Amino acid sequence: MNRYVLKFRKEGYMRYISHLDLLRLFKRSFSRIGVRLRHSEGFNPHPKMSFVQPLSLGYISKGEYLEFETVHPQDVASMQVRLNAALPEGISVVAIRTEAGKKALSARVACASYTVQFLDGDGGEAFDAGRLCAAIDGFLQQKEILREKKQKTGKFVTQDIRPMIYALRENSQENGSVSLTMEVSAGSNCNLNPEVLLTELFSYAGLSYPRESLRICRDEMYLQPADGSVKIPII
Amino acid sequence: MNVNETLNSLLLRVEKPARYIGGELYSVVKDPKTTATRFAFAFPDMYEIGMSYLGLQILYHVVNREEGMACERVFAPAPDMEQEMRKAGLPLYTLENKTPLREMDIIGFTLQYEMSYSNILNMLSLSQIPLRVKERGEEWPLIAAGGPCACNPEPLADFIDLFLLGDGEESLPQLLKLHGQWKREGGMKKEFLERAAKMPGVYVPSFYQPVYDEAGALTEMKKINSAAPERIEKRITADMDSDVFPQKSIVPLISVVHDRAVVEIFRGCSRGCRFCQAGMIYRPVRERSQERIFEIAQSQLCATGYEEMSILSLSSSDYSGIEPLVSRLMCLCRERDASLSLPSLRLDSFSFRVMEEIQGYKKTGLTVAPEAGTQRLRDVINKNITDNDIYSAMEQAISLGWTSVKLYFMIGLPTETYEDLDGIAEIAANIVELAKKANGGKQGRFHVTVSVSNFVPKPHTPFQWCAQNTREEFEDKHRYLKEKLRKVKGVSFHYHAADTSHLEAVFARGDRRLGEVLARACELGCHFDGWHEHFRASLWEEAFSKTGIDGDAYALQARDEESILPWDMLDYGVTKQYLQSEWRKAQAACVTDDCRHGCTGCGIKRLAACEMEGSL
Ligand code: SF4
Repeated sequence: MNRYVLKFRKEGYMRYISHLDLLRLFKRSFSRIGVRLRHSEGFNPHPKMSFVQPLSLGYISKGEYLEFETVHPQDVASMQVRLNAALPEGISVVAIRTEAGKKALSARVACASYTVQFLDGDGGEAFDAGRLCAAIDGFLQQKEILREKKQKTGKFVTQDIRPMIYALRENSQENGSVSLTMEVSAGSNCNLNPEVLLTELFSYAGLSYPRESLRICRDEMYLQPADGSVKIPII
Repeated sequence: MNVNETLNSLLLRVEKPARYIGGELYSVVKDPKTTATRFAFAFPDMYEIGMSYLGLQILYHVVNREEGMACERVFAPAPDMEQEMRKAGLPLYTLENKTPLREMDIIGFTLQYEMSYSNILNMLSLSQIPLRVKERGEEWPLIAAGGPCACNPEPLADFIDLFLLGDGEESLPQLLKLHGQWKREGGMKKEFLERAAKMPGVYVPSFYQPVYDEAGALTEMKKINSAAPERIEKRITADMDSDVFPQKSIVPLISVVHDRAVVEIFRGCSRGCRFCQAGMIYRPVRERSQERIFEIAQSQLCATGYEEMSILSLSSSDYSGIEPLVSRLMCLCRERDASLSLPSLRLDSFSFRVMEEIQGYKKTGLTVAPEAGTQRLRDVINKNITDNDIYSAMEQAISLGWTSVKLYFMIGLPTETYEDLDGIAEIAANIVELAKKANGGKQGRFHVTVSVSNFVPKPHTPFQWCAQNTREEFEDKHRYLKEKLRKVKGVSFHYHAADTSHLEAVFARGDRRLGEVLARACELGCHFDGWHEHFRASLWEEAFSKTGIDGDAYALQARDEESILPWDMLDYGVTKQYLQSEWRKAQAACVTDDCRHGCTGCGIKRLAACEMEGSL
């Protein structure tokens, strides 16, 4: 079986293309470079290719992952070069490796890190950044952080998101603006959307949530080894 | 204002933001600083519609391969985006360099259907560019237009500096080159227009003044600039095998209406259906060679990675080597895991064989276009298809296991009576019967869809003098057919709204006086009139009544054959005498043969060679 995983970046205007658009883009790019993807059996065969974790529309990412299977074995280095030549600006392949593990990566990913930047000026809503940063420690020291979560059925359940937060810190930047980095649960079992965390944080700090001034970047996705100790990036 | 920053702040608020970002594979971004002439190709409808239009890909390619000129794209933003742009004060911009349209040298609108005219004005308004030619001084871009509806450009004459008539792949780069020279020399706009007017296929409306008599009838298109020609001939691209066809067409990032590779196999049509404008204005037939088609198909599939390929023409079965061509394309697609789609194939044994092969178990999408319900009326419109053709095709389809068919008809055709409508219902009922018979007398799941459009008389056709049915007549006919077809089990009925067909007729045959109405309609907020959900008849009524212009007359009045028509001085090759003789033959229900059986004298020969003449 020729299974591979590739890591790519999604940047610039490409942040506005959806999950399905991106899948189609990769499918066509493989076809352009003459790599045939393995297809599922059955009435309506589709290529064996999937993203490890979907990315919200509008986010950029430095660490997206795509798993796929090809009909013929491939030289990963050459495939990477050819793919990059066939992809539009804003989508770039950083690395490709063969994937031996049986279990799909989407079921093994455990954690993702994000950087959040706040725009001020033109598009941004001003808020008291100092107050926000000062609130972080207190926010994290809470035993539990409860929120109402709407289920698919429409019912609300109470959820504690504190265990899903591995890290949260501020980075002051040279130009004086603030940004936050966070590591949170990701994956099919347990997933924390960074905006859920931010909403809770702003409310804890007593600030209104500046939805339109956020720029969110997913930096990396990690697997949890069996012993649960250290997290390792997929690639 | 920085377009990029503003865009980023509003794109997440609109539906399908990728419509507005550009950056697709094979889109071309040239440096504005080193490009003499920057042209914006403007499609007055949504991205998904415009990107499915082959003409865009061709013109984009022929301009961008030249040095010193650039073609960028712009589409009509959907209403949600328009609202955000207006709120933020963001002017309409090109997708490639995100340059506000008002900073481009030339903006060229493509005129594919009359119902997009309000979008053209709205796009100018969104670009913060004055609508009318006379309000735009030297500092504003030139506004050009081309495409099929340019064959009667008069309703847009107040807004457009120049029109390109006929095929654009040679004239557009020529025009842009001329512009580059003029820009270097530093002249006035008027000087450029005078030089352009000397180029074949260019119509500068401000160089002509319509003259009306007291009754308001057009008596003359008076030439008021000596640089302007008496008559303007459409341009014809003679050589279909040259390198004007794009092999690396832009691959959209979002799914569009026709999301596939496409090769045009020939241009023009020799059948001579009398209602069909495309059949008249794209003459003569020019085929692309099989070798060339194959080569383009192959390199397009490789370069784009599309999973589907399609051929394009007005009537694919008429291509002289259609059988070998289709077999070769089938092979090619199989090798590349792509599917082949063959629109506008006539239903004969060959096409059934092909469909069996390429569609396999998927037996959907069978269509037949008898256009009229009786043989008499089909003779009037010169649609060369008999009842027998229809039924034998249906028998074949049924025996091969197809379970549905869509029939296209037109109502309101000249000389039509209710008998002809009865004929529509009969054909549908007979097909259902055929299916029943094949199914041992049981109804089964065979389904017939009858789709009816409303006839619109179009310029440069033998029916250009005809009156259109009134909206009430159309609606009566819709009701009548609905009632008749309701009684036939297994048939469903679709029809087009009468008020849009009416408006289409008004603008198709309109004159310069309609400019006022268009401007008013734009002010009132008319846009996307071709979209059922956005069309607002009441606003158009208001636009007509406020300007005191009688729209109905344009659609409903029959024209005298001797009268001067607003498009008379535009020479599309087919002569007025020929159209007249066709109109008379129509009234006598006499048919005219396909000119592949021998020339019938349409007149296009004066302008170009007819390679298919007498080929059958
Ligand atoms: S000139 Fe004759 S052969 Fe040529 S398109 Fe017209 S009718 Fe056909």
